[in-house]
Amino acid sequence: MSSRHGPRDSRLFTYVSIGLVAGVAAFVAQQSLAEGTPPPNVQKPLNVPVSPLFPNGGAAPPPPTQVKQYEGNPTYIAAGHAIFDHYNCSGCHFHGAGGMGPAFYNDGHFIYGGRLDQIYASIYQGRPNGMPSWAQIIPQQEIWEIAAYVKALSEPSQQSAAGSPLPLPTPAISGGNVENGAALITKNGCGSCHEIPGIHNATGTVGPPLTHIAGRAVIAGVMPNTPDNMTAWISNPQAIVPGNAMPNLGLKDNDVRDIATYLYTLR
Amino acid sequence: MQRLTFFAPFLALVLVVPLSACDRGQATIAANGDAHHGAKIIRQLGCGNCHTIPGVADARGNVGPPLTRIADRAFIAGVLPNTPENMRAWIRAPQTIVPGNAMPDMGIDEADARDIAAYLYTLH
Repeated sequence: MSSRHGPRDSRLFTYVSIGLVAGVAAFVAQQSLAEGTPPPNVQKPLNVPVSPLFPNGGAAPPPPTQVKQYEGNPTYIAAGHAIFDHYNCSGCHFHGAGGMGPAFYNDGHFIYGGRLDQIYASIYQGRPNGMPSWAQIIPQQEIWEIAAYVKALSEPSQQSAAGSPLPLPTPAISGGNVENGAALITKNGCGSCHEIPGIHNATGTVGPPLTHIAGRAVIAGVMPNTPDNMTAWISNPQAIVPGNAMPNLGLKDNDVRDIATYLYTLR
Repeated sequence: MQRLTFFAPFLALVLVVPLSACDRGQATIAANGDAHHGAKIIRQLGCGNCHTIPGVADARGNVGPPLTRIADRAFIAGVLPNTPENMRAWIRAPQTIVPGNAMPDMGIDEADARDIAAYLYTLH
């Protein structure tokens, strides 16, 4: 080393190197952690052909058994209708008449195939120009039910069967205490990040408002709003979306249940 | 060495001044863009089907979170600091940022994303 580099320069060099190495190590660890964790609720998608073409003149695989099970079944159609409303599919497919998205009153002519498993695949995978992939949000059974409802809309003979939806049960948690939930929300400072109706000083704008959270279809953008998912999220948000801004508060299960009970009063 | 000592205060000033941009006030500065046009695009694209958005007709969705006070919010989607650049990135490609989340990629171009963001930054 030349005498032009004093002891201060080599100390600076050491500190900067340590910082760089630590930073890179932390980044790599965080990336591999994120990549190694499989997303929730995703199962292998079905191999569903969307066209009658098949390589080498081969035959398409037989349709999955769910097609026979769900198609034309009034219970599933009514359940699918309720879920269709819950996720506001009408927002783009106005009650089947279309809008931003195509209509389902189409005599069976679907862009990506009108067989039940093809409709299922379109909902599961999403399609170009704005159809979201619902694979991670809506459980597979419910997607089949939606598909059954959509297919019923497309068949004139079945449109009357697609009439009234089964009522979706409103989320509720048994055994939770609303007052204690409100007290815990106040005590744990949830209002410092979230606007929460009915909680004093809960006007935070770090995270999203919890107004109407009882009726919200999706929690944290990644899970359907069910009591189990709500308690899972409150207990351990970092496990579900690693690195997101909501911290783990180390709450006991009973406390989480009471908090969720309070939140489900916010219609 | 003497020259460095002379210039050190100016150097320090040059390095420190940009740090003043790192406060949350940056989020309340409207992104360049036409907020009026942004509101129109928001209505056309149907964002209100999933989000409650003040000032946009029929935007009463409750699939995703409300966008009330989105201009003041510290985070976008729970994972991005709320800056105009991050807002445009999220609007254009949410699936790249949180793969599998419920908000679809809508094929929005940069100019429209800027206008949408400009409207959102009026929501205090």
